[in-house]
Amino acid sequence: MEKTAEFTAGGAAEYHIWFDSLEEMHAELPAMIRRHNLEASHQLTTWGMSNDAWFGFGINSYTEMTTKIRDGWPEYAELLGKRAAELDAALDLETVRAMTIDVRKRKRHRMDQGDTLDLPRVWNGDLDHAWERPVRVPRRSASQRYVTIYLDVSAAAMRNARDAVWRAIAAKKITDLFTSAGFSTEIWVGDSTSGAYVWNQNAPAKTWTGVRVKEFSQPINEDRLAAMSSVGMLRTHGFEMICGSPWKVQSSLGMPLNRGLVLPLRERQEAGERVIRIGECWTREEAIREVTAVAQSLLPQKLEEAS
Amino acid sequence: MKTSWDQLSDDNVVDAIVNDLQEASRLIDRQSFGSVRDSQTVEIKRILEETKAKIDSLLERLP
Repeated sequence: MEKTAEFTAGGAAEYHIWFDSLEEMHAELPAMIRRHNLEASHQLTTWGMSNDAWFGFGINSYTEMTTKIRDGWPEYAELLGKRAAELDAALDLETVRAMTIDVRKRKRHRMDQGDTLDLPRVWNGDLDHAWERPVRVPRRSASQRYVTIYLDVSAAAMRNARDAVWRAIAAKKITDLFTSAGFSTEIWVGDSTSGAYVWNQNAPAKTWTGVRVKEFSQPINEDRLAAMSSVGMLRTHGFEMICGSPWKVQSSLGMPLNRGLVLPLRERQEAGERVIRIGECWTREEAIREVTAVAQSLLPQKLEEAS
Repeated sequence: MKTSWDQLSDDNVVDAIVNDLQEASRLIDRQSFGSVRDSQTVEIKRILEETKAKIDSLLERLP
C-alpha cells in the first residue's frame, strides 16, 4: 500500500512519500510514476552519464547503480569503513569515548558495611556480604534504547559524488557509534526538495521522500546501506520517488531543501522519540562536525536521563 | 518548463514567465537536482528566446 501525505504546515503545503523497504518501493513506485511522470522519469537514465562525478567510483550507468543498491555495493562499503576508521584520529576522542561508555544504573551491592542489614545473611555467618547499598555502576545498554536515523541524500547536480562520500562516511560512523553504544537503530534514506513541480497545479512547494533501509530488529546489511547512502541513491530512486508524486514534475525535479524529516520520522520526533538527521556533508571537516554533534547529544548523563 | 503560451491568460502570463526563467536559471547553474547536458543547454536557450519574444510582444501591447 502506498504511503503518501499532503498537508499544510506552517503556511506551506508539503508532500511526503515513503516506503517501508526497498522491496516495497520496487513493487509500488513504478505504477505511481506511470500516472503522471513517466516521460520525466525516462530522462533519469541519461542524466549525468557523460560525467564520472555523477555516480562516481566507476559506476557509469543507471542500471549499474540500481543493481548496486538492490544487491549491495561491497567495494563502496569497504571504502566507507576505511575512511570512517581514519576519522577517529581527528574526532574529539573524549566525546566519542563518552558515547561508548555504558550507562550507569543503580545496582544493589552486598558488603561488610552499608545502608541496610540482611539478617538471614548474618544468621548464616556471611558477615562480609550482610550489608546492602545501592551503587551506581556502568552497564551495557538497555533494550529500551532506540534511535531512528534519517540520512538525507539530497545534492544539487553540481555536487560531485566524490564530495558526497563524506556524508556516507558520517552516516557509517554515526551508525557504528550507536551500535557500539548498544542502541537499536532503524535507518531511513531519503531526500528533501523544494520546487519539484510545474507551476500552476496548486502543488506543494516542499517534498520529502524516504525508504527504510532496516528496522530496529533487523541486522545491518552493510553493503546495501553503503549503496543507499551514496549520492547514487538520490540520483536513481530518490528522483524516481519525486516522479511518483501526483503532479507533473519540473524538468529539473526541483532543488535540494536539505532540512526536515519525512512524515513518519517527524511524527516519531514529535512523540518524543530519538530521531537523528544526517544531512549536508561535503568535506572531511563537515563529516567530523556532524559525527561530533551527534556524539555530544548522547553524552552519558543524557542517556541516563532518557533511560 | 516549456510553458504552453496558448493556454495562458494575461493574468497568469507573468507567473509563467517567471517560472520558466527560474527553472532555466536553476538548470544552467546546476543548483537543481537535474543534470544538464550541452544539448539540453541549447534547448534551454531556445526556450528563453521564446520567452523573450513573448515578453517583447507583451511590451508592444502596453499603452
